[in-house]
Amino acid sequence: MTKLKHVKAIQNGDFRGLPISATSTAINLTGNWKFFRPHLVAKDSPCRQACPLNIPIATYLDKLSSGKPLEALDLLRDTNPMPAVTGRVCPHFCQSACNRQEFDEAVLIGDLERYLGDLGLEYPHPASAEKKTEKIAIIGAGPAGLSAAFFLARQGLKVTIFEKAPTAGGLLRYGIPAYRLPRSILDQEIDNLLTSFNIDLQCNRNIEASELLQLKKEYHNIIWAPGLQHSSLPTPWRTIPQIKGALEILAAINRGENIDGQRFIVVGGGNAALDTARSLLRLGKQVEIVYRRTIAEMPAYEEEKKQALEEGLLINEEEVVEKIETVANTLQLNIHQTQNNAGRINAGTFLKTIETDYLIAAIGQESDLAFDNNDSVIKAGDFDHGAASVAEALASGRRAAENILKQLEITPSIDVNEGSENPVIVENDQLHLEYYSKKPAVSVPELDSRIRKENFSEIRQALSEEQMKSEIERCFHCGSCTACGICWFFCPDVAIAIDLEESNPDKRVLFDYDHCKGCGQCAAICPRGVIEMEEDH
Amino acid sequence: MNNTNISPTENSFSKNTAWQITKAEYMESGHMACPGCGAALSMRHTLKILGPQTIVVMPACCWAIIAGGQPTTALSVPLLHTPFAVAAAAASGVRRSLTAQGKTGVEVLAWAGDGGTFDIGLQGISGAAERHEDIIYICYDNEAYMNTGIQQSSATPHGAWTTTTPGGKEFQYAKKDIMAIIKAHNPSYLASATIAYPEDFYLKLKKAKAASGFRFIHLLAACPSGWKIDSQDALKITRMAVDSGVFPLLEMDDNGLLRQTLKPENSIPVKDYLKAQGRFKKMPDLEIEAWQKEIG
Repeated sequence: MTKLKHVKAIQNGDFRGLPISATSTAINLTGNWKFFRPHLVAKDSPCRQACPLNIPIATYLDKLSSGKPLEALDLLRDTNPMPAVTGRVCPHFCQSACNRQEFDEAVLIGDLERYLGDLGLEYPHPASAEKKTEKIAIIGAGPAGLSAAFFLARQGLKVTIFEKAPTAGGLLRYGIPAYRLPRSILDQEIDNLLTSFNIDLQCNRNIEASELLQLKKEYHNIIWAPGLQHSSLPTPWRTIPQIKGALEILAAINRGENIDGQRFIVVGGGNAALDTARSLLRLGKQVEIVYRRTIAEMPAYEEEKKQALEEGLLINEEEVVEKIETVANTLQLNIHQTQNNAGRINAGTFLKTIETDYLIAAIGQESDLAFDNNDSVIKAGDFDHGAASVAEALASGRRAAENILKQLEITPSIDVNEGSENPVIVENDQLHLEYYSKKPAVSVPELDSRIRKENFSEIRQALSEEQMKSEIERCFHCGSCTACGICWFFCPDVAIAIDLEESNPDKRVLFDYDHCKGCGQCAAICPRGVIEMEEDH
Repeated sequence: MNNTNISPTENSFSKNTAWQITKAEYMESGHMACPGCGAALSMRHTLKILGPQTIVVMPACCWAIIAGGQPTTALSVPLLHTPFAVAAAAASGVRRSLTAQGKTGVEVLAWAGDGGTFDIGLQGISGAAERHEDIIYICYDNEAYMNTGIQQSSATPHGAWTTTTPGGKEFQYAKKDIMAIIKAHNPSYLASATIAYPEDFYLKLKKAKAASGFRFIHLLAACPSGWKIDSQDALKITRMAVDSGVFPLLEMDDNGLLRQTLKPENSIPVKDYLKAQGRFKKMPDLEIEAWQKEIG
């Protein structure tokens, strides 16, 4: 940029008497004028910060938007072992943190993740690091166990998973209904994960906690991730045969078993309550939910609530089952209105009596496994941290794997926290969105509620390629340079160059400090907030 | 130099994907403009649009300094410096000499500040416009004689501080309506624009290039030192000039009427634009309200 340039037009002319300038002003090092200089500061996006798996969302979406879906997929699967699953069942903590919410609507990160995840079903995971001799046993092939297996096997460790059930998946298979997570997707995702890294899965193998010491002799370390097996029931309810736990009913439905009874009351407001009620609805049962607070206060995911209401599920808000009587194989429930006394819910006045065949409790989950805390075993998943989202279980499995790698002094070949070691989060006021215009999220088609409540077909449809492209353009890529060129465009000193081919976002903008006068317009206009001014020495 | 084009997308910063920006640069680094100069940025993009086959004719103005002292030049296209009053006349001469030599496909660009347009060069412009000279005349308006020390010009808006504006109401004059003056000459193209609205800027410059005859573009160009603003805010405040209606983006249509080409998405009160700048610090509220009423 500083090379001298001669004006061709004057080379052959006769300009006697006229003063001519033919040397570029670039010989003037006007960069000396500045007190401050711009530099790139890579920051973290709020979506990544909100994600239990710390997925570098802005970066992989940037790859996807520059037409490199396989590179995007690699980046995504570096941190997330099963994006086709989380793209469907995660409550998308990322979207609730999205900076675009204040501008118009959050970017549909979940649907974009699912798009890549589905693509990944056909591509094996990249080969593992050098094979190592250490053997690790994992108890439970749910999300936490599978995730731990993935992060260990990727480093070349020999992993065996013991699963009590006849197939792997845990809660993903026996808890989550197929209309949210089709079994073909789950099967492919798990198969891909197991075969890519040659993970040994042993199903129908129930390992009791008492066997762990014996197992420890064979394996270098053990991860205990059996999950939570039962729905909790209040003590007086346990003796009544017509009262069942939600997890038990869900598992039976998901195993394809026949469900007795026609009338069901589900008590609770979480995802388990809605999953159970909506599954029963699909079996042609009459279902009502009784919940002690309002629908808005239900802890279930908003999308599930919306879909349940669309399907015509009757939700009795602010009501509670106060008294249960068994009359000739049916239950008589006395329903009372609830009173909210400064946050405490008490039963109020009597409202009505409901007759039902079964009462399903979805008011919490527990484990009945005897387990002595012992240091030789690393706990993971719901058993360790209580019922939580699939993403949190995956993260818990990853932490367990990281613990083991640390013990073995193995440095992971992929640093899942890269770029967020000391994260500066880009807040909304650091974005400069003058040159963006409002554009709502694409509308993702869902199966019509009248059709979908007849079967277990997947409700939410996949993004088309066109929708994917349109949606990805909405991402601000907060904190991550995309080489958009706006700084280059608005530089009055021609002191910025953009390297469109550079894969490292921190090196895409090249400042010519010999000529940059430090005006700061690039920092003031950068949509992603990655250019900052620092004192020039 | 890599001459491939860049197509801004929604993802970068444009609202319309139909425009392209060349990577080729015809303005050099190391020029003498102050940090954050709107005139320098305007020249950079004007030349990107007009291309290498352009001859620039320039009277005394900020840019006469920005272009560099002998033996340097900030432009890689020919640039003719002229006395203050004669930009339009000299540009007419350059065009006629090209014609006499049978040279076509060359743009002649007269590039002058507000002093050389609104005040000192006005007769020359009037003459060139009357003769329908085949030139593009661009006035980059930073609303005072900035490089000589911020003296008031007839483009300085009412209420703005300059080093030569005495205090007191009787010395406050409204900005001259240059668009109406030029319109009265029936030019072949007439528009106002600013690089802070780049898409509109590009469309208008391209239209001017495609036309022939006397073409006039009035550019608003921020001057951080003269407007008493931070250099990093120059673009933002130029946008505010448009958003507040103080500097509407206009174009003359086929019927000879000026129409607005871009209605701001977020219009703001005049007061916000004025109060963002040090030069309007002492402007009384009553006068600001009157200005607001005038704009509507």
